[in-house]
Amino acid sequence: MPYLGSEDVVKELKKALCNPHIQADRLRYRNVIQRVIRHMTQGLDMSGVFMEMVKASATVDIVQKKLVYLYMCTYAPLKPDLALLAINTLCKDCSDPNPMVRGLALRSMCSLRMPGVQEYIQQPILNGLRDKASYVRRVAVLGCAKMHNLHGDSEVDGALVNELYSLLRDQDPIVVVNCLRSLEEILKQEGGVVINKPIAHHLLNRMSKLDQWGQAEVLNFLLRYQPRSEEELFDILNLLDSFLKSSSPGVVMGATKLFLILAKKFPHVQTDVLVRVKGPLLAACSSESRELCFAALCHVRQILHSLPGHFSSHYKKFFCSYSEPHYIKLQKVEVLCELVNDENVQQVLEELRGYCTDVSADFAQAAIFAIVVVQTFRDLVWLCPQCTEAVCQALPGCEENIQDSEGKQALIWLLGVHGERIPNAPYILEDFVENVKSETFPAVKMELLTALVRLFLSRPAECQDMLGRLLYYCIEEEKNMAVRDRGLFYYRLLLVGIDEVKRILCSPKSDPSLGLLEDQAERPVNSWASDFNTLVPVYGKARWATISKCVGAEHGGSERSHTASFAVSGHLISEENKGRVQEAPDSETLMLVPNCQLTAEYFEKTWLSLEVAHQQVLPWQGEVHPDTLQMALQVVNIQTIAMSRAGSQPWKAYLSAQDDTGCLFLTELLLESENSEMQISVKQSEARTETLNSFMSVLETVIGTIGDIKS
Amino acid sequence: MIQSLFLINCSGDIFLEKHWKSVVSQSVCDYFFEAQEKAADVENVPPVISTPHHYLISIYQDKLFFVSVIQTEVPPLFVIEFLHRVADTFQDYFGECSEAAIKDNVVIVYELLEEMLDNGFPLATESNILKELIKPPTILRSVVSSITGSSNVGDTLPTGQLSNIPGHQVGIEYTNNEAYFDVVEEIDAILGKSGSTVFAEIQGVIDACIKLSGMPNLSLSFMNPRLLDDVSFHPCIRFKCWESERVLSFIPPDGNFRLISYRVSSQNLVAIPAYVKHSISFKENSSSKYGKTIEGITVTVHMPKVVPNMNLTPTQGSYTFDPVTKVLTWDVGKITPQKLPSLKGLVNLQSGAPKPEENPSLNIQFKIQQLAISGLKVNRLDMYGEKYKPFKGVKYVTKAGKFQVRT
Repeated sequence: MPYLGSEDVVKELKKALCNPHIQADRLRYRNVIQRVIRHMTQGLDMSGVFMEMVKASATVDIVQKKLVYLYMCTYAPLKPDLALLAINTLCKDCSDPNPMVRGLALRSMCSLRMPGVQEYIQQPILNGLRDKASYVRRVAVLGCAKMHNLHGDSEVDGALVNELYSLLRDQDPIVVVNCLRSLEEILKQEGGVVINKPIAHHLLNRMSKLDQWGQAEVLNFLLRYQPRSEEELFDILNLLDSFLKSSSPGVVMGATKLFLILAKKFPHVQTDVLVRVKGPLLAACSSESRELCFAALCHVRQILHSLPGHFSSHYKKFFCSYSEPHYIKLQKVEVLCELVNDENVQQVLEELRGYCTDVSADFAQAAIFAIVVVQTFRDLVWLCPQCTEAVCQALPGCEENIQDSEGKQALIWLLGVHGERIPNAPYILEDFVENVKSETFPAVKMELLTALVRLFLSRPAECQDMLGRLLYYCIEEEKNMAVRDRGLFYYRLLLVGIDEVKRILCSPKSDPSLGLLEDQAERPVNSWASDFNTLVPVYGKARWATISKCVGAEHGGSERSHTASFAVSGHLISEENKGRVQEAPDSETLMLVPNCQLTAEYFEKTWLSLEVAHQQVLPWQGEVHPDTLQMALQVVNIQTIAMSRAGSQPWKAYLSAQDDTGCLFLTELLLESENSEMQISVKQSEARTETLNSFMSVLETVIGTIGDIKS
Repeated sequence: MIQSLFLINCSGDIFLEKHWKSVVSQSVCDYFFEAQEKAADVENVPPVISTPHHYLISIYQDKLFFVSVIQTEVPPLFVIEFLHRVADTFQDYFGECSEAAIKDNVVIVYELLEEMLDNGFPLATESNILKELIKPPTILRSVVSSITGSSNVGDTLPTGQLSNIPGHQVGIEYTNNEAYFDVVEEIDAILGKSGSTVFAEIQGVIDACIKLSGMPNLSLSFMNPRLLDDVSFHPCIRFKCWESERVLSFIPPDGNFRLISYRVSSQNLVAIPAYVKHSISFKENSSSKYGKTIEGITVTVHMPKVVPNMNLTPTQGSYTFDPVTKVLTWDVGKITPQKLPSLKGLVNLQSGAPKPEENPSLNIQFKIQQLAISGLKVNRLDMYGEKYKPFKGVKYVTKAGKFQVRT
């Protein structure tokens, strides 16, 4: 077909749609409509033929109806006045004898997404809820949620909510799940659908009748239910037992999470569950779908935080194969690194060594990959001295693959510390010295200085000359002050005498007291259980919080509390995200000192002597949970001096923090019962606006995150 | 849950989009393309990408990207599984999941997407239910409908939607009552440079095709059920029965479904049916043990970039070399133990290019009919609750999964 501009196409199609001959011929008519849809899906603006398409909706042909409905749903927001014409046909179809037509019409009507449509859809939806065909009921139940969204933030229709709650007893399993989904959206302001004991038990009994999607979602909803007694708890766990062996990884993960959360007071049950899902998880890790592998690997890493060595006997599962995408390889290497123990260290290292020179087909990829590997080596050497030998053997030959600053640093560090055992270490370092002028990363230069001075101590003859050259370069030519300082430092140190240098530089090469397994601080399962089977293991919580925040800002308050409804209380900022929270202020030169504990008297005295430097109001809903807040503040090095009890009104808290220059930040949080906002007043011992702003942003982040979770 | 879906081909064209809630602009895909650029190779885009307002969860299948837009917290595995289900449904309907097939059937694609998700939630995803809602295109039907103008939509609702057993239809009478099982095993293995097994494992599934009238109660037992390491079950299977008696007892859904999937990983159980020598010469071992021939052998090698062409002579089968992707494919066919196939010849390097440091890895495909390499055997299938006698059958096949030889 020759290329036509969209205007010509619209004109041509319009003519065809109006042609009575075509209209009379059902097939030709449908073909023209199909062409309209085709163009529409390719992104051409087809709204010009809206009128003609509405006319085409009056037909007995279901396919044609479907097509026209699809068209109308796309363009109704652009042509609201014309779309009202179509509603007539849709209303009529809602009482068609064929349940399929009823369902289709109702679904399309609910998806019209244009203002003013609410009044027309209310009655058909209510009728649909009582329809005898489950297909129509399914559509109608979700239609309730769509209708609520169309209304915007208006109040919740109590009668409708009651009707939906009663439909939870419907005999069609999908209607039941749709009710939950719908209620969740309608009641998001109030924290979502309520799962009480009868509902929970009803859902548990229906579980086996649901499809995998329904099961996964119901498991998620059941997280809200708190069993009354230990006996009930174990009854529930027994009922859910078989879902740990489901063929759908999504259901397995959902069930695992529910087990972990429900059994939060029984660590042995949690461990037991993790042992039992080991099989399914490993199966997912080698699934045909690379994306499933990836997500499963992320979760494996999370489990390893609490149960290091959990997968140790299966370490070979995590060996990379040539054809896997890099994001999987990277995850696998990380997992491997955590699984290393005394028995398998040889094999793992052998394997890692293979990766260093593998995939020469694509140099760039190899480089990225090798960095990770070398970093792994560094960690290995530090943590388990007995494998040093093997690493040293593996090192030569890696240097060509490494391009990135961190990789280079790791390599140089290794060469410096263990250089006496690597025959060609000085010559590898020499290459770096030769090219130091073109080196772009100051950190690499500093690492090089340290490594060379260290190596000089053990192999002076081979290093003296190049050390001289490097020091000369760093002191005379280098522009970066930090590097120059480091160079001068070593120069002067060397002047003092070789013994002094040895005393300072030859700290222990690794810490033999740290066994690899003992070293990893085992985090309790409960610290991450609430994040399990969410996007957090794949991405980090802080990232998600920022996204939800943006969404909140864009869509106003409603969206904000909506995002809150999925979050489950627990630890706010997980260990690995600690850094992220602090990173932001770092860039603005604020560094809060940990463990600055003021006495209450000193705080009071200082508070009274200072003026309020900054006052701000942040949105807040519901009660404050002092423990959570205190914990979160602790993470960013803000100490709590005093706090009112949960539920007291007005609620108050006093906080203190100190930055690295010694400047104190004293804060008062005030929550009046009738307001849904938190008043913050900050006093500062030295008036400096830039650090004050950074401090405020830290505080805001914490309170914002907590607020999101609690509301 | 799932707000929108974009289908993107390898050259980066968005050729289909569908929105279940408000319309999300195509520009959201720019973040995806950005990630693609960063990943160097298009296939290496991580499956979860965050953008300022959304998460993009994508899968890559058959050279197409299925990119879903998510705005609220979701279990990632759930979305990934669902996207695979969408791709599998296309495959099921159109015989292939390709851009051309989707474009040709764009109307059916929209109908399917409309039924599979409503308001972003998965609804009908079982193939037998979907097929009653929307009939798949067949040559015969398209001829018939072009003559009679009849629609491709079922006029009645699927009866399965009223049943309480997932997927099982009440009151259907089949003229031939059949129950067939396929035991399919795939060997995932990495063979080291010296020919030793670095890693080997068997992934097995039992796929069932069941057409039985009424409400039959089946029980399937194995000769050696302890062989199975990790088993995951179709929801229809009574888990307690397996726990206590190691018997699969279930009321089957109609049509094709995956009964169980399992894993056999104890190192000594995996007998490697084929291995390759460095110098690329083929040997078959353990053929006497099973007495089956290995067939359909293909060896693929990703050659280094510096190889512009090659001139090889196979003693058996034929080979092709794609100079663009640098993939050497050698179609070996069957192996007879008497005469081992080999592929010898000259591989040219670009003039002036340094010698590649490493030999490329080999990926191997093969098939062994009528054998489950783990040794798993079905003992018997019993049916209770119905009077008639069904046709029963079990087939075994072993294939190479991710079977890789390092050189």
